[in-house]
Amino acid sequence: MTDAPYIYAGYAATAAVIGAYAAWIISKTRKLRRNTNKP
Amino acid sequence: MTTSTRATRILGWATAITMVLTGWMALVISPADAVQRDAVRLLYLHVPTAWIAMYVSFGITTLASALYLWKRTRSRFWDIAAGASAEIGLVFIGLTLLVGSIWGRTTWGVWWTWDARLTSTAVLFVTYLGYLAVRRIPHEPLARSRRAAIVALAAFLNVPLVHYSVEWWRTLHQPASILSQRRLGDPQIHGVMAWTLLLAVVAFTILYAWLLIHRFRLAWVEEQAEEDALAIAIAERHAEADATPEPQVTS
Amino acid sequence: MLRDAALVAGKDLRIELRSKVATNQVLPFAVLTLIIFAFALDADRGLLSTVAAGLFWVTVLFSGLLAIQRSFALEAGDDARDALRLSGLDGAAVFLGKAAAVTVQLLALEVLLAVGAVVLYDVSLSGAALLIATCLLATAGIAAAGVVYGAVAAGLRVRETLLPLLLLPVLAPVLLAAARASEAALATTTAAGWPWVRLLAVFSAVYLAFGVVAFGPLLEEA
Repeated sequence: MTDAPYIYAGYAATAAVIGAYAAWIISKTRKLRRNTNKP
Repeated sequence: MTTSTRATRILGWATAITMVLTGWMALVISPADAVQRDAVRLLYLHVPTAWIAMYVSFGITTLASALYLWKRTRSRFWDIAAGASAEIGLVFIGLTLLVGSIWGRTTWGVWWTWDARLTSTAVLFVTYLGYLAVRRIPHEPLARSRRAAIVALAAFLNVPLVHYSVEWWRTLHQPASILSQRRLGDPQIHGVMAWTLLLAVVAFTILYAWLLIHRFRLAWVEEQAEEDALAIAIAERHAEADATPEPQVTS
Repeated sequence: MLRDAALVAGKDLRIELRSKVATNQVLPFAVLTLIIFAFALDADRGLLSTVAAGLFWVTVLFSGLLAIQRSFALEAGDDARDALRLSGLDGAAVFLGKAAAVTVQLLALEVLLAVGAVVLYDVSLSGAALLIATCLLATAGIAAAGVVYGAVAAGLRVRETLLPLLLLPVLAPVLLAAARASEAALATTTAAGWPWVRLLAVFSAVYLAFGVVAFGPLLEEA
C-alpha cells in the first residue's frame, strides 16, 4: 500500500482521539454519579 | 458502576460492528484510486467526520438552541443537548482537519494549504470553540445558557458566509490543472468506493448518536452536581448563621 | 425606534467626546500597530505598500475590538445596564444606537489610519468610490457583529478574552472582502473590487438584522 505509514497514522489517530474522548466522558460520568449518590 | 443503558448498549455494539466493517472495507477490500492511489482511504474517515459534524452535530446544536430560546419549548434538555452535540461536532471537525492534513501531505505534499475547504473548516473549528467557551463561563450559569444559544444561532448564520467568501477567494487564485487540488478533493467515486464511503458515513453517524447520549448524560449529571454543591453551600451558610449567637446588648 | 436609536448613539458618542478614551487610547494603539507591522516586516517599503490593505484592515479589526469593549464598559458601572433596561427602550433601538456609535468612531479612526498608511507605507490612494464604499460597509458589518458579540461578553469576568475569540472568526469574511476590495482600489483594478463590496453588504445586512432581533433577549437576563 502506497503511503502506508500516513494511512495507518490517520486511522490510528482517529481511533485514539475518539477512544480518549469516549473514555473521558464515561469516566467523568462515573465519578460524578458516585459523588452524587452519597447521602 | 455501569454507565450504559439498553439504548447505549445497542448503539455501542452497532458502532463497533460498523466501524470494524468500515475499517476492513476501507483498508482491505476497496481499491486504490487511479489518481491519488491509497491516499483515498483516508477520505473514508475525512469525509464522514466533516459531513456529520457540519450537517448533523452543528445542525442539532442550532435547532436545540432555537428551541431553548423559544419560550414555549424552553427547557434544560435543549440547552444541554445543544452543548453536547456541539462538543462532539468540534471533536469531529478536529479529526477532519487532522486526517485532512495527513491526506494533504500524501497528495499535495504539504501539511496545510489555504485551499477553500480547509480554510473554512479551520474557521468553523474556531467558531465552535468560541461557542463552547461561552458555555464554560465560570461562575455565571444564568448568563451561560441564553447567551450560548444566541451565539449558536449566530454561528449557524456565519457558516455559509464564511464558506462562500473563502470559496470565492480561493477559486480566484486557483489555476485549473489536472492535478489541481479541487479535482483531487473530488475523486470520481463509484462502485466499491461509493459503498465504502456510505458505510463509513453510517458508522460515524451511529458513533455520533452513541457519543451524544453519553455526553448528554454527563452534562446532566454535571448540572445536578453543580446545583447540589450550591444547595449544600447555602445550607452551610444557614447553619453558620444559626450557630453564631446574636451579640447581646448590655444596657 | 430610529429616534430611540439616535438617542442611544448620541449618548455613547457624547460620553466618548467627554472622556476621549477612543482618541487617547484606541487611536494611538492603531497607529502603534501600523508601526509595529513595519518592524515585523523589516520596513521593506515595497512589501509594506503591497500588503498595506491587509495590514490596514487587521489594524481596524483589533481597534474595533477595543471600541466594542469600550461601548459596553460604558454601562458596566453604577447599574447603568439596569437603567438601560428599565428605560423602556426597545432592544433593537439600543442595538442600532450602539452599532451606529461604534461605526462613527471606527470610520473616524479609518480616515486617520488611511493617512498613516499613505505616509508610513508609501501608499497612493486611488479608486475613491470603491474605497469609501468598502469602508462604510465593512465598518457597518464590524460594528453590527461586534455589538452583538459584545453583548454576549458584556458583564462577564472573562469578557476581554472571550470577545476576540468569538468575534474574529465571525469577521473573517469582512477582513477578506475588505482587504481584497481595498487592494483592487489601490491597484486601480476597481472592477475586481466591487463584487467584494457586495459581499460586505450582505454580511452587514445579515448582522444588522440578527442584532435587531437578538439584542432584546441578550439585554433581558442578568
